[in-house]
Amino acid sequence: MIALDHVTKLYGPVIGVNDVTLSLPQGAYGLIGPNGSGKTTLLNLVTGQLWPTLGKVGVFDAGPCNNPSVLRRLGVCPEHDVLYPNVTGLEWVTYLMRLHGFGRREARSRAEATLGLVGMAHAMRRRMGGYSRGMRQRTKLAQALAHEPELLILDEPLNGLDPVGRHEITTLLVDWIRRGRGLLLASHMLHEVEAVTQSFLLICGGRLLASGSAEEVHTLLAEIPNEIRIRTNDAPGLARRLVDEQAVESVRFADGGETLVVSTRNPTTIYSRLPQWLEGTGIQVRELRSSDESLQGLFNALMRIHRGNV
Amino acid sequence: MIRKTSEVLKTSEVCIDANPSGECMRIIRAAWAVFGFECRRQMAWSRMLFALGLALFPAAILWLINHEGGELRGQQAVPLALFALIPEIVCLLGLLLWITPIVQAEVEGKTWPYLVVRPAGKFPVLLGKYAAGVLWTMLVGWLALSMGLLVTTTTPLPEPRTTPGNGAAITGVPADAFPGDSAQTRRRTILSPEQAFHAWKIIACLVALSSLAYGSLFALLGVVFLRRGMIFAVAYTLLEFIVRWIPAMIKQMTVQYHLQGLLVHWMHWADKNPQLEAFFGAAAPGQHVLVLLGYAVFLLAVAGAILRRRELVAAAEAAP
Repeated sequence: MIALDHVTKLYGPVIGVNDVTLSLPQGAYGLIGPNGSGKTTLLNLVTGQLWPTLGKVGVFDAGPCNNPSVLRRLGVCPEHDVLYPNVTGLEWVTYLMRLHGFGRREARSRAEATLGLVGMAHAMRRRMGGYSRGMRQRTKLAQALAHEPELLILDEPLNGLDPVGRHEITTLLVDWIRRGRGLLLASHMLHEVEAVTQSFLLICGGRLLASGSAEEVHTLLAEIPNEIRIRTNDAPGLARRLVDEQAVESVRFADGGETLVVSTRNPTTIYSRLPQWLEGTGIQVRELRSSDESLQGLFNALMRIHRGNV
Repeated sequence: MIRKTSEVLKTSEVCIDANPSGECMRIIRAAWAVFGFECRRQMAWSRMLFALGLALFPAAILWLINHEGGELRGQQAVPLALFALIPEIVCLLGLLLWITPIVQAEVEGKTWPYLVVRPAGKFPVLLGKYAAGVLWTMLVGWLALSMGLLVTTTTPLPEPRTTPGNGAAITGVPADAFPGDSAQTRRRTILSPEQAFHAWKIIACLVALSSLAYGSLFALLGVVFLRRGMIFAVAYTLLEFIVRWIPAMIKQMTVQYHLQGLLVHWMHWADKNPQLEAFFGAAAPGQHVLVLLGYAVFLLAVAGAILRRRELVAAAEAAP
């Protein structure tokens, strides 16, 4: 389905994608990486919007750049919002279907059907200027689905959606995969991708650092210590209490001694047992947050491994 | 509530491969779709008001000149003034605003990626937007021309200061060069309805040719200089205003030269004043028209070829 052979993309002196080689057979894949990791550049190379500086990109055994036979089989949903404020969602999707080669009537019926499919039936005749972010996301998804592509390429498709919307779109994508269609889903949220597919590609700094199943990624995650920041009225007291616990690897003070940063390989234990540990101590937790929610810890560790620092 | 994709998209077999069409037809159909979409988008109040303002501007100038007792009495002066105001100013302003940023607007609006991942490609987008911009400019130009001529046919002259047959002191062209010119009509209004209609036909053609030729030129500049296309287009226009007066071959490269040549030929001014022919050449009007249309096709083809090879992802992605 997709084959990249030592692909490098340079933006002047800046590397967007660095020597990526991969071969993806028909299926569903999640492209995971932090913001600015090169996900969008990689997708732009696959969709033919960018030419590789070095290497070769193949989609359905052909180069995607200016190639109608490849582009006809792709459905692309870019990350950016659509900004035609005085155009209705139906007009816009119909327009794009007509650019795809459908006649006026067929384009309109496909647009209507797909906008209904993504839950936009009630708002498709309203101007897009009045759409919420979630509605725009759904409309964007509709234009990618409406021509029934063989490969759907989505860049952060769940951004801006409420939990119900996320669930609906996730269900839709799972159904899409069940029908044997291809999917390449880029996101910086592991759980978003995990809900749709179990095959991951991890990208950071323009490099493809790892690939594999969800289980393999979780194994990797388990090996990387997580940091939890706890703001409290008695940081030294809490530190004394936590250092004895096996789940805690180290503690340090931050923010002038008000915050305790706890390093652990097992954050779930900390979250579940913290109330129990604090019982009767008079220590109050004012704020608790994890600094590793976006997988940055994993990617930093993978980068260190990639550079040979670990 | 959303439904399963398999329930809704049952028509997957109706793939566009089922209606094969030639490359040329595919481009034309896609360009037509872009043209229709762009025309609908133009129907915003802000754009309509701007277009109306642009269309009223020459009529206002003509009315003011006449009202202030200006020397707009020779019938050659009116077509000259309309030519200078409409194909040379109104059309250029319209094209600058509607054609030069055709690609830049899509890239900055982040809508470009949605268009170029379609099999039709980039050229139909350029072609459709160019056609919409040119049509819009022509409509504004024709409206401006109609309004301008309406002023000249309805505004009474303050006082007849010219003698019969000597109304061309401004341009140096004999007054009877204009069909239907007479001292009587000039006493009442600047132009008679017949004269106005004759001028309308000629300048309307020049508006169309100016829009087509300058439109493709500005489209090319917009494709080459994505972010500063308008600046380069203005700079080029100013340069052309200078170059067209240089008595050398280079002036024949300008759009202005051919437009002015057509004006002189179609108004039959060269018949009365051989000096004009010496400046604008003896080329037949058809030759000027061919050159202008050739410019339009050639420059648009070059713009399309450049666009095909350009990587126009959103600036945020490409920027370091």
